[in-house]
Amino acid sequence: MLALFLIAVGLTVPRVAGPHYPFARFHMFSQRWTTAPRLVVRDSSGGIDEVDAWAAWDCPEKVDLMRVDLCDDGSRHPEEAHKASDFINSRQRPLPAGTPVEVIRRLYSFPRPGGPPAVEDCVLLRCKASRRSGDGT
Amino acid sequence: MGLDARQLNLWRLGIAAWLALETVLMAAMTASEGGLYKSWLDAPGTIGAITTRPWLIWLIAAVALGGIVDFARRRDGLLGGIIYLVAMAVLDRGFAAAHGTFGLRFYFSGLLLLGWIVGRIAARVLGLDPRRSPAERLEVERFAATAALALFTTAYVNACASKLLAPDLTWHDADHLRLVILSRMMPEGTLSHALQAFLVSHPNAVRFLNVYTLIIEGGAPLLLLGPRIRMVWGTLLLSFHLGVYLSLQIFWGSAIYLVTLLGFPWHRLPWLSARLGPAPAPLTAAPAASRARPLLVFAPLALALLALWLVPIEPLRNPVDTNPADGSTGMQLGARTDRVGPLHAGLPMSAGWQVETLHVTHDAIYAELRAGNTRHVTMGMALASNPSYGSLRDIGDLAIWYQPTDTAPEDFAPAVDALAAFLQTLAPEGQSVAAALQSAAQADGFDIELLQGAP
Repeated sequence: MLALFLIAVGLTVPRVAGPHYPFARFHMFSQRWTTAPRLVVRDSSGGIDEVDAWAAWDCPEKVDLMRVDLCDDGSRHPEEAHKASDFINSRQRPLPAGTPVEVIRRLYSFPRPGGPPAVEDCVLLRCKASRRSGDGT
Repeated sequence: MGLDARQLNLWRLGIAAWLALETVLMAAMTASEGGLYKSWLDAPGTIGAITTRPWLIWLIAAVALGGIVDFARRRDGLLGGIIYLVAMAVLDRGFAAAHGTFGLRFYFSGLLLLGWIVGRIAARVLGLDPRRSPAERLEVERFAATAALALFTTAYVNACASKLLAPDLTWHDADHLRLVILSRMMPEGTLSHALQAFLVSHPNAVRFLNVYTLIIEGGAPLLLLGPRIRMVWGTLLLSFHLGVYLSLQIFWGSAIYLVTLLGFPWHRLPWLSARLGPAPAPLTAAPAASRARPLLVFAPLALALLALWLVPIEPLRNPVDTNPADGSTGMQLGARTDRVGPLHAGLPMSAGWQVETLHVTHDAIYAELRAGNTRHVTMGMALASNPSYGSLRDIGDLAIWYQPTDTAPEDFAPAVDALAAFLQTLAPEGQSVAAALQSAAQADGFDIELLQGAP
């Protein structure tokens, strides 16, 4: 009976009082997504990779992928953008022989329920990059 | 639940060790982030003061560690556990202020400790005294362990209930999870990628996983039913966590450790068993709390609490309403105020919306500061723990973001339209809206200096 009582407490407290250690609703992913954004790097052949797959970067200026005027596609993931900006800025150096790449925000959606995903790309940034930190100079 | 003394020892020590580790982790994560936002965090008062002073964070952590050592050493103590919980509750507020989100991964072990302490108290209320005899002490610990496990399972049941009660989610909606997977795709050639690609292209498999997840999470209280079922359900819970890790790259280390600890009879391993104390002697005069009393005491309370689920709590779901009691708003710390320049509580929006409380805190804001960016002010309009953000409006150099809550963005849109129009009036054509808002806010004595600078 004590167990039942505590289960009732554990279910009711976070619902009524909000998250207070150690109570929470744990409602991760319980709000419906209609689109899914993702930051990736596209090279000249159209190949897609993670930002951290490129070890050295040469961009025109300090990178700020969180700028609100970039890709106003109704979707933004600031944490991912912040991490990518930090990653690129911390690896910036001249790469005259680097590979031209684009940092893009890829937006996934499902126009038809259960169907294949639709993909929409928006270019955030054009830089040169190298997969290995020792290359490109 | 048929728990013997060695198993109870293992649980108590295993939980205490994990709590100690998490205390250090939480303190380190709070101290490393908090100092970055000193000026900003002065606003929320006590919590800000704690969060921006690493020595104070570590002092609180030391108090928590002292409490957990006491819990681990004394089988009949209450104070150590209570001190730990209070200290961690304070530390958790600081963590949230520094990170913009609560450290939910630390909550699983907190639930266990709280349940353990409540169980010890309840056993005493029901007439058991751990100081009277070893047998009675064992009975108290059984009581406590059962209570701990009960509270622990509510983390899973809450996760299940949140999905079942979500207004726009259904078990047969495969696209939601497919999108989440797509946003977290791993590089080709990895096991995760293979699984992710399979799930994205097989909606029925995703539907199965939806149902599987609900059953596993919702059935977590079965852990209470005995060692065999506990092993079965523990295995199922671990399979669920493994699946989440492989498909979404989300690793709930705390939950995995605790399910592994609690779900299986490790105390029967010979090398471990010897270290956990002598084999339990049969209880010749096994004490037991009266079975009638717990029924009388707890049944009405449990029913009263569950009855609350029948009461509609709609006001708490309003995304503009950042009432601290609102479970859907997730983050409550940072600057909470009734006025930021021209924005103030009671300001009517449209379609029945009005500003309830101004609430400005967010990882993204902190990230902007850390990156040295000063071009934009970001206002989180409706905060939730789901880190998925949509930009509803960009007004010059000011952005208003919507973060998902139980209210759909389209229902909330009229309020954002009105707010955008209102903010637009602050600055003449071509001028910085953010600067105008900042200037007006400072005139009201509210310092948002660090949020942005004039472009």
